[in-house]
Amino acid sequence: MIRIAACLVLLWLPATLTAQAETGYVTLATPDGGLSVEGRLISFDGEFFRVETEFGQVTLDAGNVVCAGQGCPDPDAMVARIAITGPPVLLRELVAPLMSGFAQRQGLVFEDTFLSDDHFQWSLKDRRSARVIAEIEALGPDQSAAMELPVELKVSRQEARAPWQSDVIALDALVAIVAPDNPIASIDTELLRRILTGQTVDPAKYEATPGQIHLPAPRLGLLQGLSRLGSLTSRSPQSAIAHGDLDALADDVASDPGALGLTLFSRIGNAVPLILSGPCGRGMPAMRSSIKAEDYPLTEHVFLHRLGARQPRVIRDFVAYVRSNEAQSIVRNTGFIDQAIGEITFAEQGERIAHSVLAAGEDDLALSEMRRMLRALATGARLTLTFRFRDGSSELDAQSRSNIRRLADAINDGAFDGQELLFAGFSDGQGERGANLGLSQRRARRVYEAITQIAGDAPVRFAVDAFGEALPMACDGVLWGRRVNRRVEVWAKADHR
Amino acid sequence: MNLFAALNWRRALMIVGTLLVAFASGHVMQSLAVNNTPLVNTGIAPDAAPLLRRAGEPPELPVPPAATLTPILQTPPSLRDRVTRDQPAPLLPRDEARLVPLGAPCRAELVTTAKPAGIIGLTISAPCWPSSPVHIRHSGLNITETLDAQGRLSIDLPALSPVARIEVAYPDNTFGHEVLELPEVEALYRVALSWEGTQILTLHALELGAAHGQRGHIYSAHRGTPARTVRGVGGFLTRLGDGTGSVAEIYTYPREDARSRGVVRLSAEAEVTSATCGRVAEASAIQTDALGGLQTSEVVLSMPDCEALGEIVLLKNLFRDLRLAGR
Repeated sequence: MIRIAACLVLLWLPATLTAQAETGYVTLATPDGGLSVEGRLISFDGEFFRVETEFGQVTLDAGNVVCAGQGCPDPDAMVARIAITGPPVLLRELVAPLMSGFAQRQGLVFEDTFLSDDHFQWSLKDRRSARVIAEIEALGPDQSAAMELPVELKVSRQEARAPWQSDVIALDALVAIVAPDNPIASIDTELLRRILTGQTVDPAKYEATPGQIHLPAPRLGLLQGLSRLGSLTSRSPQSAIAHGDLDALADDVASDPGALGLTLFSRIGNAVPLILSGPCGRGMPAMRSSIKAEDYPLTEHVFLHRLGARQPRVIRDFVAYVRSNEAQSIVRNTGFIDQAIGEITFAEQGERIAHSVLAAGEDDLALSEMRRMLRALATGARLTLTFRFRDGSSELDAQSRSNIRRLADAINDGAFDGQELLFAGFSDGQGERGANLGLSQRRARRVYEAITQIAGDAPVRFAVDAFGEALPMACDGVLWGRRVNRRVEVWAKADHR
Repeated sequence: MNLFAALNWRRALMIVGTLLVAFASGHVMQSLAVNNTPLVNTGIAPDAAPLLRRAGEPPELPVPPAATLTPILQTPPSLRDRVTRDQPAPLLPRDEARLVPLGAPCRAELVTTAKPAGIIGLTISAPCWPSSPVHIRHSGLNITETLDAQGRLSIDLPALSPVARIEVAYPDNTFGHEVLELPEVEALYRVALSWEGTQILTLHALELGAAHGQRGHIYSAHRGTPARTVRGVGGFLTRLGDGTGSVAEIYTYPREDARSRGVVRLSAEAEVTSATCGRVAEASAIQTDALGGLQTSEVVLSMPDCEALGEIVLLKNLFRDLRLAGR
């Protein structure tokens, strides 16, 4: 019997959540008898009862009700049964290692049974008693459609709508790739966009035109990401080969010196990623640090979606684990890009600083501004976490809003105790310099306020500064370049007060 | 694996028996002694008590290998791997009578040496068991080999762990253990596939863009050599087990590849033949997990029906591809 009082939590679950009923009838009532629910018990995870009632499915907090009837579970015998779906590669290479790390952290044993290339069974067992805590069906999209299991977790490269709740668990990026023996090192993004969308390319304008083109199959949903380079037509080049398997795509590109492919950073294989360049000649390489900082324009996200209802405890614990620094170090070992906050030293940024000096105006004001900026930044290190804004506004984009929480958590965890954190605002080069300085100041201020609201009590010195268009990262002549340039960087340095 | 569980249980009983005798004789000697100085090894007594208490219970207490290993590790190296520890002479007098023809006692000897490329040179000399099967176990790998007519065996076993524990089960259910340090293993990628009985799955590595049938395609018919790994220019496949029991294929690749960056694609393949169609292929796949430990995956693969004869089932997701430095 499970007792206790207080409020009754009723949650209606979507109709898709029809679990296999394997237990009998129960009556769940508040101890004072004020409310009772009868029905067939679907599951009990130690915290929540799920009951099929005449009104539909109901989830009840076990702390608030007493269970009566033959179907009442033995609290020690409960097993959370979960289905998770997604591309098998993500399940196998990202979720399974995270689950294994989670198990080690929790004193559990992770067991993996491989039934086919898109169907795995995982179980979590107590290390000491060998009692099964959770049984997890991990299914590729085809398997999941066939098995009709209630799916509560999804791993995906696409966002999901309510009632799903989402966490970004890893970063990735769209990259243009060529064979290692192809001499091309960079590609103009306008050329790339035209080639990949089947538009004509003026041979006089670009020195190299590629041979065979390899694209991800449209059903993988990756081509939309290219829209950040400019508008897309819906058609692909007729001669392009569409690949459902990105490893095969990379293998084909790597073995053909004339080929050009588009794939994900995590699936480059033996091919080589190209630097994306803009009309001003400034380019952005696809590297871990540039993707993490979203300086690279085609960053992609890997999401863990969970149903927006009460989850078995083990799922909630897993989701919490995935957010931890330890989980991010697992992500780093899997070939995906983690979100742990890293540092890029001033010395590592020599190239972009040289660029900015060369691009600076000739007047005294420009020179003194440059000196002011270098003085402010030279003793620090830039954090990989960067804040970016919607066009022409001081409104943070989606990823940057979650970065607020990530940075505030790190500050509250003491990661920057005794240091100074400088929020340095930058703008694109569109418009008048004074106005840009003001805009970048407002953006830096906005981030500072959001952070200090959550983490203002930490023993960290916060500072705000702005430098307008002084340190561009990409070309202002293209949309994606301006977006990359509009940013608030965070610099950490020793607090010498 | 079941075999080992059973062996452990027998062994547990044997230890209980040994300790009982030790206890009893200790008591007798103690009462005979002039003063009350205990003659029983007090190091043994605390362990004996719980074991004795549990002796009547159903067999759920296979002695964990780690627990039995500890005291062995603490003894001088010369006493390590004494099979006779598990089979004390006074308890089993019939074994005293077991002598090899030349009069030497029936004693199995396990010797391990560290070889290049993280390989354990493993030699067994058990003259009392000519032409008999032995089971070798290491980090989740199971291998069955047959001793030669003189009771000898010599194999090269790629270590899966820098501190490699090797266990050998002899035909009379006694064991030999060795622990060998091979720091070099840290510098290697190693994956393994092991199964019992008929082989259905085969391990394949495509190194740095190699296609099927090319030089960099390493599998049982083209295994490469440890020398490639020592030189940092490629991997090699080791196949162990003589087919009478458990067999394993182990693939090794250097973490610091001397040539370039890229990936080694790893897969398992199963051909649909009249012998494999419609069957369930079972195997264990072992690979390093993201935290540096070893993760074993149990494969339970339903093979296609016999109408699909000649087709090949390709498992791309069983192993994670090896991403070389810089990625």
